[in-house]
Amino acid sequence: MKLGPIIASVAIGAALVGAGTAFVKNLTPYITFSEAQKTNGTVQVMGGLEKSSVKMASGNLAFTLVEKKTGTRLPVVFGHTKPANFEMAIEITAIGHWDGSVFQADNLLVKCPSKYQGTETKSYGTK
Amino acid sequence: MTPVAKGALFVFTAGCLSYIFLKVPAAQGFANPDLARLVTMHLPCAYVALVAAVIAAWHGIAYLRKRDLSSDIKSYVGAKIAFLYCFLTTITGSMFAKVQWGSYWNWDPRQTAVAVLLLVYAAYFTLRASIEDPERRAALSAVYVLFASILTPMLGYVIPTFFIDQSLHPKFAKFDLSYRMAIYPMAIALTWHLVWMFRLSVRAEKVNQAIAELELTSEGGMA
Repeated sequence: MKLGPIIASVAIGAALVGAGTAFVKNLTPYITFSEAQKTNGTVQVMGGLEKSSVKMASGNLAFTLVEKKTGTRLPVVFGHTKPANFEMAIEITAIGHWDGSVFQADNLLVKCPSKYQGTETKSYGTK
Repeated sequence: MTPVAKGALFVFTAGCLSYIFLKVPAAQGFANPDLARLVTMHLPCAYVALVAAVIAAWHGIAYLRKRDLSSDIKSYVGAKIAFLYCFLTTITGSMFAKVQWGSYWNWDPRQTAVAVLLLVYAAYFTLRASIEDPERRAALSAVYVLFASILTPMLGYVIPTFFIDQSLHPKFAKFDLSYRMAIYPMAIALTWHLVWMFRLSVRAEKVNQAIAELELTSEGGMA
């Protein structure tokens, strides 16, 4: 057996695994709540919506997001129109910045439900 | 395809579309329940992209084993169709994202992954365009297309599903019967279209190459 090709393939393999891992790590735009609280610029966070926390305060929508893995809670304030399906949201992506006490969201994105189920009766025009 | 087969394909596709537009119920819990039907196009497009990638890889391997240039043409046409359906998956997905998430493009893991995949295919076409010698072009393209074909399910499904925790996409979506009855036949209809498109494109590509050869020889004759 020649040593050269073996060393070369091991090196190529290691490089591929390294590049792949780095790629997968950087594939997500969402950062953790603790990271978001340390960053000044605009960031994206994602978490479960705590339904009981949703309220309107002086024209702003205020609610709490809960991080899935750590259970960390993040208070969020949103000054624009509430997204249409906000009440039904399970998970929310908030784009904005941490102002020291609360996460000021510029935009909210609502995750897709994972179930596709038809409504019992079609109710067009009643919304 | 024979005229009868074409007619059957037309009727089958029309049936699928009629079912989607007339019978599939709006899905509960979506921002716009009516537009959740987009998923019945989005998923079959992704599936057909994978089928086309497998076809491209299959003929790429065939070229490397037998060195027959017609395999190269088939592999090339497979890659073109894979690119087309990756693109259609991206477009239908982006439309759905605007309706459901509130943004056409948010660099969600799957969106980033599919953007990379589209670039991988774009590089394949650039590679082909940059090599003059047909045999060298065929050999290099065949090796590259294997790489692109492996990346297609990896970037489109495996990595975003099993290696990424957070995404605006659901990990494993569940469909009730009315949705399954739209998605599976639509996948069959699009696969049928794929077969038709594949055969037609292979013929067209062969004619193109024959014309190019004729032009070359006639130029040689005049010189």
